[in-house]
Amino acid sequence: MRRMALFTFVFAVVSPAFGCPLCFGSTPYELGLYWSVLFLLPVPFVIVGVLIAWIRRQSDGNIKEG
Amino acid sequence: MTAAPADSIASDRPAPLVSKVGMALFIGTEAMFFAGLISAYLVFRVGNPNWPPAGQPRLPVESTAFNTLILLLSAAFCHRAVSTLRAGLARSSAYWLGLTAVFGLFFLVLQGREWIRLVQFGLTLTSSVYGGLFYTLIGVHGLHVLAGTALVLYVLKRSVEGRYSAAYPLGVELARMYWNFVVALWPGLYFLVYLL
Repeated sequence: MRRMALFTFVFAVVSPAFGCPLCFGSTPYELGLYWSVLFLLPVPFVIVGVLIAWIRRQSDGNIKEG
Repeated sequence: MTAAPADSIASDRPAPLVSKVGMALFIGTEAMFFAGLISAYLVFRVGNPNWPPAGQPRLPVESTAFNTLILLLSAAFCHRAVSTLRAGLARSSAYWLGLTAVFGLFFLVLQGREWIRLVQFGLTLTSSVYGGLFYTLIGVHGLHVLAGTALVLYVLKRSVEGRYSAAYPLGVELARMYWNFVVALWPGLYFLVYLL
């Protein structure tokens, strides 16, 4: 319940940040920027997450073998 | 002259986990590099309602789909090279590595053939943003395939020399990690550049 409330709060409060004139316009160029930023935002988190998961899996395997 | 004790040879070898983490970090930086290129592509692709621009040739979707299959098969061969080496079949592993390299080279030859045709149809690096982005994104991936093929050939040479075994398959495993990355990237690029 608290998580749900926090989630709703965050998305309700950040709406003023959508005022970025470049990323939230309706011209094709602005849409291009929007999708580009949207694509790039999670990439570092995905890469680091995959790396950490992979290293953990490898070290678990080594412990089992050792 | 006496042979070096087995323990000293073993201690000279790089630690498998450290080497693999190093390769994984390197692949992570490569992934970030490609993410930047894809992001730049998206800006222009979504930003241009008329894509490809008028007067520019369409990309060869069917022949590149076949080429995608070739690359995916090469990844399966590379996987087989590691599994046979782990099973103690070093000669069989070298065979699968050779097949991986051949399919990698085949992919590059087919790509080169398509590029020659595209240049003849007027799609060059400077003809438009479309051409510039296409040759940059696909060309950089092609360079990675070339580097991966060179790595596989180098590992094949060492494998034939008997440097890898079921107890120490590190070189082949590292080559597979890099090759898997290069192959896994391609279907995404194919969808983005050729189909979208």
